[in-house]
Amino acid sequence: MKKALLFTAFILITAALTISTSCEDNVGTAPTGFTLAAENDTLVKLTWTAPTTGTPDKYVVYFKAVGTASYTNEGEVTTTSVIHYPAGATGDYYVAAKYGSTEENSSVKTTIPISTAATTVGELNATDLSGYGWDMTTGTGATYSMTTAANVTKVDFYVTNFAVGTATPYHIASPDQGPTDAGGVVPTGAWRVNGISDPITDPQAPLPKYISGTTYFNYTQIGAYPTYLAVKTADGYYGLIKVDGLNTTNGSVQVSSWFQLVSGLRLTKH
Amino acid sequence: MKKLLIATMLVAIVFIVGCPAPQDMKAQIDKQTETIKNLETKITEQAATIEQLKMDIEKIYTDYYKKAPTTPKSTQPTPPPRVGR
Repeated sequence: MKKALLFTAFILITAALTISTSCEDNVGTAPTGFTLAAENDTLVKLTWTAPTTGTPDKYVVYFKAVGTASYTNEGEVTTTSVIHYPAGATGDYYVAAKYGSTEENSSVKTTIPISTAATTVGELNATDLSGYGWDMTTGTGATYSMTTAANVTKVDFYVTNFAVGTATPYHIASPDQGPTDAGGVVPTGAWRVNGISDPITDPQAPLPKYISGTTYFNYTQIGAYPTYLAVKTADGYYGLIKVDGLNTTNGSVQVSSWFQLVSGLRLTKH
Repeated sequence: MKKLLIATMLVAIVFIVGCPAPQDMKAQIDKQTETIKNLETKITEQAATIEQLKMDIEKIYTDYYKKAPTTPKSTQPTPPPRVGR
């Protein structure tokens, strides 16, 4: 009798191990088409497509905030989209399809702003190029001439004193102010109608919320160096700029930038 | 002889001192005096005219600056109106 019981137990354990091994062999693939978008100006919406192979038990959302070392589990869902509240932070995201104890990871996407190192930007009548704009695909900033209408789609702001010559004080102005600028060198054209914020005290905090006619302007005067400003582009992107390094001899300043590639998201912690 | 010489000198002195100025010379002096007076009068008139002109010019300047619009005497540029977006 005792032998029979031991034999039955052996059979049951062997069967369980076999089933377990078999299940692990049937793990599906990772989610595809993982993207980030702005649910609103401070919430991030994550969307993905279900794996082509296998049906995951659930999806796990992972987030690694900028300046931190490791990912944290932000929640588990069975849907293929989720809204994340990052509490003002930016960071890297991925979603994992979970099959039992196995996870298959998607690609990594980020809300960390694209940083562009300090670049010389001249006053409108100075020698250096006075226009500055971001590539909406890569997020990198570059300088452009304001004297050619070919750059109307490339410039997001320019440096000016609204007068002939390069005397201070300087202003950061929306490109559409160029043709009427007293500097007198900007040709007419469909220059972007962007908004420039008041000076920002905390460059790591979310950029000022856009309130029509209230928080972003056609230009802002630079009263101190460095000064941080937010720029809201006509097509809904946000960028943070640092204006520093005033050179009154050359009529130029140094501009650094952090551009948020997720349209509509005003988070630029870096 | 000595007495005769003295008498001759006295006669000469009396002639020289007592000789009246010629009439045409006096008239000439009077004429020049009158000319000088006329010139003095003209100078006085011109001075008054100049003084009046100075007062007129001062009044014109005063009126001009009172009516002139007050524009800032700064070399600072004037930016366009700052408007929200």
